[in-house]
Amino acid sequence: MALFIRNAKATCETVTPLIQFKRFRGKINIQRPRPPHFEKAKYLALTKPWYLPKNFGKTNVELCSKSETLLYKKQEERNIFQEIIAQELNRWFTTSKLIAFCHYNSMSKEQEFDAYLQFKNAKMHFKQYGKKTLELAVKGTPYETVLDFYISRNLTIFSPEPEIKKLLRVLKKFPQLVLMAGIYENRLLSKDELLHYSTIPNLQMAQAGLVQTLNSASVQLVSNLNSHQTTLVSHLEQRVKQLGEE
Amino acid sequence: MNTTKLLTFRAPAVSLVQICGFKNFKAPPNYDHIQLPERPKLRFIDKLPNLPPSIRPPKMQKRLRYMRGPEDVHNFLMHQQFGIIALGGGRLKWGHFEMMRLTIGRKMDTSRMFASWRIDSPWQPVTKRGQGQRLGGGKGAIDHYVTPIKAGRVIVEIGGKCEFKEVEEFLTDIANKLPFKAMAVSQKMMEKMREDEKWREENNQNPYTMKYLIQNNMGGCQRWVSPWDLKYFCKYV
Repeated sequence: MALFIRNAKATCETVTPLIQFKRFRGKINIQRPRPPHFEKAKYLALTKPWYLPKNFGKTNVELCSKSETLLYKKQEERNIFQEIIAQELNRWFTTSKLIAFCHYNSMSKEQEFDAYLQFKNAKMHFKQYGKKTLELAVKGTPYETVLDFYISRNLTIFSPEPEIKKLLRVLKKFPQLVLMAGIYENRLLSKDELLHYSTIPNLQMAQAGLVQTLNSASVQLVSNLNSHQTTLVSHLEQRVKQLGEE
Repeated sequence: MNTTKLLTFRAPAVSLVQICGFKNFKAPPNYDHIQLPERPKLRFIDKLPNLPPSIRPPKMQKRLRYMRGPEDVHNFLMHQQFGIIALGGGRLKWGHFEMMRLTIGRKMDTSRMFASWRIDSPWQPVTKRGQGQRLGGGKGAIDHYVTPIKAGRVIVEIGGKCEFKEVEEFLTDIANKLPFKAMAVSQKMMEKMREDEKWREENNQNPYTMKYLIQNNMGGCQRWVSPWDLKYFCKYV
């Protein structure tokens, strides 16, 4: 037993190791970190992230560079300046009594200026707008039909007074401007109808003529009824004159 | 032959519409919500920290931990406009503060913009032995003070009635002069960077990420990774 205890004492003897504390690894360099240890570099290489290519899983239609223009109409930006111009144009439409739509064949700038001047002298306004501006201006108004005229290069003439004759006179000098249609007092007219209207005098003249004819019948009646009396009176006056002379 | 040529090269029968578009002048951005502070320029930064006269300025160990890892607190723009952010850790000396203050004061239009510091003045002492001294003799005297910066920290902010393009140039100039990698950013860029980071995390096709390997002790890697890697998964030094 004693032997056993002695043996146990020998095996369970505590050993106190000598521990020397050191600073934990060296100082790091933040600006220029040292290259990683081979083991860590292996891990870094293994865990390097990778991503699917940008066009992965796209159909041929989606890959086509033109598809955007073909399939999806580009969302157009809102242009406030254009909206202001469109409002102005809308005002032109509602306030003008005569609006003419012309096709614009190419002409020199000098000629164009000349045309502009002549329309100006006739107190008409010579305007050129794109289809999009016009759409903004007249969509949802009674003037919507005129959008059909704006397929190629177009010209619009606004006149505050309904003077078709003047308009046609100016247009005759410029064969490059082809009259297509017009709006006369809120009525859309074709070119032929416009020409026909130009031969008719305006409403006030016609009304004056009517009044004149109506008046003329009554005036004639009065004169017919009075004619005998007036002739008698005139004869009697002549006779008085004769007697006075004698 | 001429006729065939003419036929083949004749113009296509389509009506071409010439488009003379309107200039789209966009409305300028609205700055009504911006209030300019009384002092638009950066304030002067003291070279030494203000200590009570009874206290002897304490010396310090290097404490490199102050510039390791990501910045958790000051990593967003307070005014949600523009600023400079650090892309890595480092220490700013008083000279850098002066450089930033003077450049911004010179280049900034004070009637419309303002600038503010997002970092503390230099507070951490750095000791140095005098020139030509032998080893021994204890720790050297305090030479200068620094401000430790972590990656992602906003350093200065610029705001006011201006756009990023106006301030980008001089902010980038300043960022290039700083002792660590830095860049000029706008709020938009910060949001984009955050979004991209998120996208990269979600769309990574590699199933083995450092996080997964270290957390699961793959290959017994926890034997050799540093405590910083255990925390940030080898993302920072």
